[in-house]
Amino acid sequence: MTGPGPSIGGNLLQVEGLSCEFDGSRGVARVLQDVRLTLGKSMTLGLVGESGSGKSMLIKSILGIAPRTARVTGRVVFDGVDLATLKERERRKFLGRRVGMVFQNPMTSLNPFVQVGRQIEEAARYYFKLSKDQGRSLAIELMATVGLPDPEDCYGQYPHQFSGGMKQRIMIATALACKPDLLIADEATTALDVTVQKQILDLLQTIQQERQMSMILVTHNLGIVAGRTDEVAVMYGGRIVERGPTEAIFHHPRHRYTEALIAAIPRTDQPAHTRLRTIPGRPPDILRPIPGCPFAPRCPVAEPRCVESMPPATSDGDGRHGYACHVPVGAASGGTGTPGLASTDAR
Amino acid sequence: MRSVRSTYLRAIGMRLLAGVPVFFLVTFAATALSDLMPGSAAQTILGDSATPEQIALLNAQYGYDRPAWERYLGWLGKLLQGDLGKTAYSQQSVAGLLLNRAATTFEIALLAMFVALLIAVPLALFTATRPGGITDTVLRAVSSTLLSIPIFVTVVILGFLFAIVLRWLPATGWMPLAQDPIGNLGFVALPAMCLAVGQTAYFYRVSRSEFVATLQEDFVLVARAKGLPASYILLRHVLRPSLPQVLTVFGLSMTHLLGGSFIVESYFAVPGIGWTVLGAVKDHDIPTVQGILSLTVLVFVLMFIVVDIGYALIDPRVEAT
Repeated sequence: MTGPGPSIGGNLLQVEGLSCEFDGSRGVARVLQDVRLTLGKSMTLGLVGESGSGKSMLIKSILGIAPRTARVTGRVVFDGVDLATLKERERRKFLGRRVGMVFQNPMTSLNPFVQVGRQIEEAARYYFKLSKDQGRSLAIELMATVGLPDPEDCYGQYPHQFSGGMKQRIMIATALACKPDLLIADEATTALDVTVQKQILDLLQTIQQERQMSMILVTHNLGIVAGRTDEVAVMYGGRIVERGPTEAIFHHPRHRYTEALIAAIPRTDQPAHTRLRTIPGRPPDILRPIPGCPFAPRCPVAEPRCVESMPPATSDGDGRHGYACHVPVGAASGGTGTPGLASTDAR
Repeated sequence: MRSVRSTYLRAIGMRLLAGVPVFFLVTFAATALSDLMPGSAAQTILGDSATPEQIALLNAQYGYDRPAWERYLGWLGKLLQGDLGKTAYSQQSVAGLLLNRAATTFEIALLAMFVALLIAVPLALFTATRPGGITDTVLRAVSSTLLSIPIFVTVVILGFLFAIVLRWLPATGWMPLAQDPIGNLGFVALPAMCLAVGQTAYFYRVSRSEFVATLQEDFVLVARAKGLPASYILLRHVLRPSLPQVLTVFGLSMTHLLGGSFIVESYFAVPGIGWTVLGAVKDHDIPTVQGILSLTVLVFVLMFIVVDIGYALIDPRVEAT
């Protein structure tokens, strides 16, 4: 529920009214609700939210690889092509070539039974009808690009012969094989240790800039997107609650959830043993969503109307910074960072 | 790749060695067994009207009066010279008989196995990709029904259907493959079918659950995100990772089938290993029993070697040790 993003060089990806539901034994689970998202060409977007906020399902719904039990509705336009006009099979084929995916767990994302070189080249060989030799040289070139030592030797090796960081490099090479217009890294560094995390993020950033690709960094860690993205979208309870230029999100967050998330980032300038800030309460129950803002039950400044009605999409300035909050940070009605109980009437 | 070959050879050697104690234990038990069984070999051979003198004479002649361990050592000594002895009655060479009977059983077992895999694996691939569908539901019910039907019921039903009602296949008997390949097909069909029924259901269930598990793997999601065709994903990314489990079941089933099915072979009067060993035990035909047991031990050990080599071929993470 945010305003449209910038369209420098036109939009590569445009998502409107995307919803995703599952029929469960305890009722309908609404995993995504009315998600609106735009991504410009060569732009990077950080998609941030806690576990279960719907980040991964949003990506899967866009790509058409959500589980078959999912009911996905809404409009997705990729580079001018409305994906609704494509059959499921065509859609996956279309996006498979133009979107590269790097998933969370490099340990399980590679098939342990297939040589890594073959896994890197397979999509390109399929789409571009490459010969065995062409595929091989492409794979070796890509392995060099992502910084694997001795790519010639790596080609015929199997995933178990590589470390986690190396495997994630292989996954990135795999995602780059078809020269995608968009690279999506879904929690790509979450399973790696911190030093390797930085290496992989730097690599992604370098490649994004060299190739002028668009990129979506999906993460639960705000720190990761801080210096690396043009824009940030914050998800909560299956909705995008705030979105805007990265600078604005970090320095002038408007949504209460974003504010709380930023406050929860551990800081090195605080004395040792400072108690970490957390957000009290639990993530929303997607089986029984409230009619209002999903964050209201945990929000320190929530008002009755927050629970009763969904706040409208609002935007600041030139419309690039959008949010959906009845009591936004910095507005006259709600004091900035006022601690309070969920039931407190802060007006 | 000299080193790879030598590790393989060493691995095979280790497994053969591991089979040696099993071999001694089983074959000695078989020798001793005839002392524990009611009646005696000589009595059985000579019939009820034999006099004690005749029996004593025969016992001395064949060495049946000597203690079990002595008879066993004698048998082992001959085995080392490549002599498996002669059968108690017809005085045929046990080795020759064994080759003949093993060929029959192996043919039926291989055919049953081949048919079972050929039906079960593609069906499992199909339903694993459509869990909860009509085909899946129906096949689940059918396979559990087939699994719960004991083999002695299967032989009666299928025998009745194909030999009596439809009259397509001969009810009993055998024609060696070498003698008349076409005629052989008619005789091998019913026994192989009976064995294949249960095997198919078994393979279907094992491979379906394996395929379903593999389809949940992240690397399958990655392949789907790449937009690769479903058939390619199944063959390239699902089939092979699921094979080790299927191979395990294949190996276990195969060792059983190669040991010969007493019920199927008896019912259809097929002169295979199961039928032969049944008769030999009843008749105190120890040399034949010994020969068959030795063969069975050998088959088991070889089968495990084949399965282990299979693991190493399928899964690059498995090393020959």
